[in-house]
Amino acid sequence: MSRRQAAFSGLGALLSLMRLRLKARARSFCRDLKRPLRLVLFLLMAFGITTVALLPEHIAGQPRGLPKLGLNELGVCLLLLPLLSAWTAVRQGVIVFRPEEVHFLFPAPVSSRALLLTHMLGVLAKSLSGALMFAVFVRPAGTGFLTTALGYGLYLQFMMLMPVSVDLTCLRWPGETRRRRARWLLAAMVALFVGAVGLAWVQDGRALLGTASLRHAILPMLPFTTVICGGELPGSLPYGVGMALVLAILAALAARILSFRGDVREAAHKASLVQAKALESVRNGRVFVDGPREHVGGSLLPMLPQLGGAGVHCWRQLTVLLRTRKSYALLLMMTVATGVSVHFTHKAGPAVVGLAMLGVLVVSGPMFVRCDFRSDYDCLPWLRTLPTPPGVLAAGQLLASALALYVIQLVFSGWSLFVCPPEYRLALLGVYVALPVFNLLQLSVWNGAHLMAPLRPGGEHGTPDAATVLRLYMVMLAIMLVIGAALAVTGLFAAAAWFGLPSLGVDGTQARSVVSFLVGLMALGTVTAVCVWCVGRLFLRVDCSRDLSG
Amino acid sequence: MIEVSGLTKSFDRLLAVDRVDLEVGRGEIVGLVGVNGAGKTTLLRMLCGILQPDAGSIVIDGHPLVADGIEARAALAFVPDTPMLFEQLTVLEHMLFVARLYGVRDAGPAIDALLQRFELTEKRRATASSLSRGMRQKLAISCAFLHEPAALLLDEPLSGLDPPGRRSMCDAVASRAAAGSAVLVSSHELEIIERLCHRFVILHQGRVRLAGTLAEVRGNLGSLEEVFLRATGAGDAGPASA
Repeated sequence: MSRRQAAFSGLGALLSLMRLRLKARARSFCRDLKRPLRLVLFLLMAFGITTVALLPEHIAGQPRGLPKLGLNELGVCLLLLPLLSAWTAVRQGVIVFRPEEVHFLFPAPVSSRALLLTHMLGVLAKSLSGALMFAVFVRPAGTGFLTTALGYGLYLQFMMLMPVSVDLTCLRWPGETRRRRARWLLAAMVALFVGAVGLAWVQDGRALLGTASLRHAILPMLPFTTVICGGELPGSLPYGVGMALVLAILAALAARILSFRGDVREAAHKASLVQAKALESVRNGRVFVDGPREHVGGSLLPMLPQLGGAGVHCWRQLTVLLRTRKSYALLLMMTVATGVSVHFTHKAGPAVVGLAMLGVLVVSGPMFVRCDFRSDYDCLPWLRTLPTPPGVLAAGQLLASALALYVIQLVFSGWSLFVCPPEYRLALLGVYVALPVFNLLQLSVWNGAHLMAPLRPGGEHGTPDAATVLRLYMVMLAIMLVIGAALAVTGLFAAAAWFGLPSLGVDGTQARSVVSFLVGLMALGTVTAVCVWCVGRLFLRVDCSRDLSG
Repeated sequence: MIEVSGLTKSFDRLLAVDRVDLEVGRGEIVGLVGVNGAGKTTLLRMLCGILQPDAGSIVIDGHPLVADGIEARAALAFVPDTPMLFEQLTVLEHMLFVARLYGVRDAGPAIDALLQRFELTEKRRATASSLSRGMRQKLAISCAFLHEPAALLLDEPLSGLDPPGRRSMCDAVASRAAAGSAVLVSSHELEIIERLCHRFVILHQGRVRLAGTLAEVRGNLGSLEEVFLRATGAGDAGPASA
């Protein structure tokens, strides 16, 4: 076998595999369309997308896409994603194959280069469909659909090729070196972000996105922003230069990857195992997976009091929560980003920033902090065998998430109590007093919904389909309705106390406020206790023998 | 045949496989046994080219795996403990793909024969996602047999199989060896391994603790299980309860 033949050995078979899989996907799609619900969903989605993509702006009634999306905003978005991808590439690798590909392709007479090429082709197909969707929904004002789609397509190619190239560069580094350098890279990125925000803070009165430092930071992304925001420019000199630069960058990256001489199997196998573990974790109900940790030392928490059996479950969930604490970074990043953007876009003071952050934590927190029944899909049969009353068990399961969420809320937004105007301080204090109960209420409703309609976050093969997404929306709608009803009951009791107190001889506004608040809080507590009890009953009803994959 | 010499592999600070020497001749079935974490899977993954050894050499059917990877890989087949299949592809599509992958010419009759032998003929149009555990294992082994490999590597091939499935798997492995393949089987099922294999290698903490035929390794001891427990120190706590 010649050297050239060896370099691309197995490529024909890999292309044939791609063709077979495309055929299989089409077959599965056609089979799905025979089910009325899937057909209706597909038609709805197709109609919606076509409408958004094709209707002229004056018929649609509003500007399409993001009308205010300027070069700076787009540049920031385009810069952040490659930075995060580069960090992932350094940390754990991005050349990832599915377990069945590892089984069939890695021991087969297939060259590393053929594997890389197939991997790139696979991602190319995905990025093209992604580019079309992006062009439909996130189109800069005044830009043509095809121009934007082409721009996004080229950018997504960059997003695919650049991390692979970084990954290949890091292959020779031992695992510990990779992890250390990834930590340095992350620290540098955070420092840059903090520096940019700090600089903008110092230059008070100027929007963050208008600072010179940021304009310089996004300069490397300029060819991509030019190509995406081409608008009326195709044919003009800046557009041509931008396009030439983008193509040159992509060609250089592709050449770098295809000239790789080593073997990618081991690194790809390792990265694939990490991804498979993450997918499994998501299927088991966790939002994100924390890195594997072999030695964790002693117990992080002392065993909690028995509390009729609830204590031990609360302890177990809190321990899991502490050991996977890094996975809550996204929630905290979202919270901080909201605070920063509220400050810079609305020139808001610290009190408003704190409240905005609290809002994010109250609304999104129960979705992210999920060390309860939602992350215990595989433990449900075992939990059923325990000699703990279901209501008590439910309370133990939910208390951990509620407590953890409250601590996060206090740490990240509790300071607003000290910086808010004095006239609002008492009301805000009331909010923080009622918050643990409200967290528990939200969590119990979320858990109740999940126990009533058990569904793993992924579909049959780990990727959610349209029916799964629709079902998720229905569940979320039901959750909002129940929480709204619970709050209405609470408000009703508080209002009844407020208006009823004068007849009992309590006239002072402050006294009426405090008593009404306490009555409302008691009502909220009672509703929450009922909800927790219901979660216990629902836990008894869930059919553990069913596969929950939907 | 499979020739392994001085094979070593470590992950960060953990030495998973330590200077292992091993040889499996044509038509021979060698059983690889060891406690969990002994290094069996790492060894097999190195033999099939998924992991790269830190030191040592692997020769498959006369081709060094590192220097002549494509030829060496063309001569081997690997079946992992859990059969990973392309869920949306049918049984027949799997076989056609593997035939293309290993360059099997005029694969039709061979595919038909294998499907018939492993009772998959009626399932040839069924997707992998619709197959039972046993059927999936049969499909994986059919794919492994299609190019008549000179070396066959099996990692825990009996896990999760019912008694008929185990019997069928053992028969298949024995027939492949009879056809001239060198077979290396890793398993915890000592009784079955004892019946199936010609020689045994007991791996412990990444090193070969004991190797040879059953008669050679057992000496005065009664069964492979006793030899295994003695060699790995796992039986020091006392005799197993009945």
